[in-house]
Amino acid sequence: MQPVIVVKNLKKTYKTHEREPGLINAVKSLFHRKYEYKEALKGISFEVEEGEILGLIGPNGAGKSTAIKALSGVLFPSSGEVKVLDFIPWKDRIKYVKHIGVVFGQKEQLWWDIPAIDTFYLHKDLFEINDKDFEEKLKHMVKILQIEDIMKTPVRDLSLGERMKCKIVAALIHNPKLVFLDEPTIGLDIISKERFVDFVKDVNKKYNTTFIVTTHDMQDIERLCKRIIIINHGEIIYDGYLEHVRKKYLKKKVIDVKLEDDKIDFKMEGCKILQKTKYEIKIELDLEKNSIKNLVNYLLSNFNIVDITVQDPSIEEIIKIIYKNV
Amino acid sequence: MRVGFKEAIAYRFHFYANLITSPLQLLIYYFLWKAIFSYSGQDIISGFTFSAMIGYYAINMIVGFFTWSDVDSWIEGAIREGHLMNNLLKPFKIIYLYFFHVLGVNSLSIILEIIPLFLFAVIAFDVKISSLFYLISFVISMILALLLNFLISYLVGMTAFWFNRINGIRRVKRTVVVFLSGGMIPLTFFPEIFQKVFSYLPFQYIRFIPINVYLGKYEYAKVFALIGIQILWILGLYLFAELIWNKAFKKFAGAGA
Repeated sequence: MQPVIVVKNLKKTYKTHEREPGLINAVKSLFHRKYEYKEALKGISFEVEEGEILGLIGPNGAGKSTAIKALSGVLFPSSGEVKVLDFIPWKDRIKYVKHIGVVFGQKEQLWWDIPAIDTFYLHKDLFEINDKDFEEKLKHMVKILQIEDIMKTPVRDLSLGERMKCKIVAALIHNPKLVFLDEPTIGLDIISKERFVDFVKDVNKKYNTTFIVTTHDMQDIERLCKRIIIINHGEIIYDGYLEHVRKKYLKKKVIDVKLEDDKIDFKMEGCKILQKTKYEIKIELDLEKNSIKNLVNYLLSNFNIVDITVQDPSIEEIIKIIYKNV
Repeated sequence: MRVGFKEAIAYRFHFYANLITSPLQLLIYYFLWKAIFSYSGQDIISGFTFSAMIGYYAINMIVGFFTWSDVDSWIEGAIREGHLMNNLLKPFKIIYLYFFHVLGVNSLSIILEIIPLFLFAVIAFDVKISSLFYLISFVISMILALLLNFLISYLVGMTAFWFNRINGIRRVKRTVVVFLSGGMIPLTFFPEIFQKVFSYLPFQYIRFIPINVYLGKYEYAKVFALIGIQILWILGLYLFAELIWNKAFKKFAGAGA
């Protein structure tokens, strides 16, 4: 299958002028400017297949936004090749943007003084959506995101989360093949986040829409993406399945056991007792030295077990380890 | 266009305010020129009788409302606040998006400002309704004036891609346009040599020419010629604007906003 996005050796260097603080330096900088070059992207390459939900993650200033901008056609890269849906985004901007939707979580994208529904109708005209498709799509999204009343209020009177929902609708109303979500869940509460995740999954399934998501919320990524790309300092430091990251970095598990016995005499290879109370024990298991199977078997045959929970270190912790290692 | 219209409705107070202030402004002109005419003792000043002068100002205000364009400040704001990005994500040329927005806002002004003001001028100040030919040519010329004023304002807005703040440039532009277009006083008040220079500039086609077309100051053939020149200016400035836009976009996208 032809990939939707092909990025080859994409580089972006920003030229910024730095200025020392103070009045004299301000005047000085009028005549002589010191330029500073910042490499935001140091030659990244990747491909995305149709219908994928790709998570793009990395710490602040890693180059995620730069990548998204170059891919959505509003930024000229310094060098490298980008081909999206057979377009070169920044060259074919007008034709290209018809096929994509972009949500910038941190930017205002709706008309501030008028209700969101008017922005949707504007998009209907701008993107030449026919009445039937428009109504159907709008109805579907309004229902899932529950914005029936919200969309009739002037945008300036809406909360952050409400605006976010409306933005998502505006970005998806023309049924784009490819959607960029740049920190889409900022400001959403847990329930809205869940609904949002379900919504994205639903659209992805129904229309085979490709999504590129950047976020700092690892839970969103976990719920949405199979594949992730981790960027740091303008370079891709990981590109692959989320599961593999977990496996690669997951060498320990935490097992919580509740028992009927009040006398616990426990010892096993690779296990460390983290906590021990009268009817409860918390064990950290090193998977390189022993397996869960052995441990559970041992526990079952020696104690009267009430409950067992096996926990992974959270994905946040794994990502933290990856960031630090590079 | 519809959004511009809706947005304008959201701020209809501004229009209502104009509904009251614009007749007042006309009244001020009325008394000012009445004083000037009676003081000078002449019936005709720089080719204008008193009633033609009032007609000039009434039509001047109408053309002013109709050709209104704040695109330069919109562009400045869009760059500074970062929502230019949103416009770039729409499948249209930026210049068209802004033009239709202006059209939306201004079409509301036809209902709320232009028609009431025109009726007021006709009833209260006895401004004459022009003959059909001049009326139609006036409307055409005024539409072209809108395009022209839009393009100038758009070009000034483009400078915001190179300078962070363009308040100063915008103020200069506003003064230049109002003066050189004949929006302050009829251009016939300027010395011969200045008028000659003005005729080689686009500004007089924004106010002075359409107003005089309404007032029936030109022969039929001259009206066609003037409208032709207006069109030429529009084409020239449009091409120039496209050129500048290409450079501006490169600059914007290169810097990464």
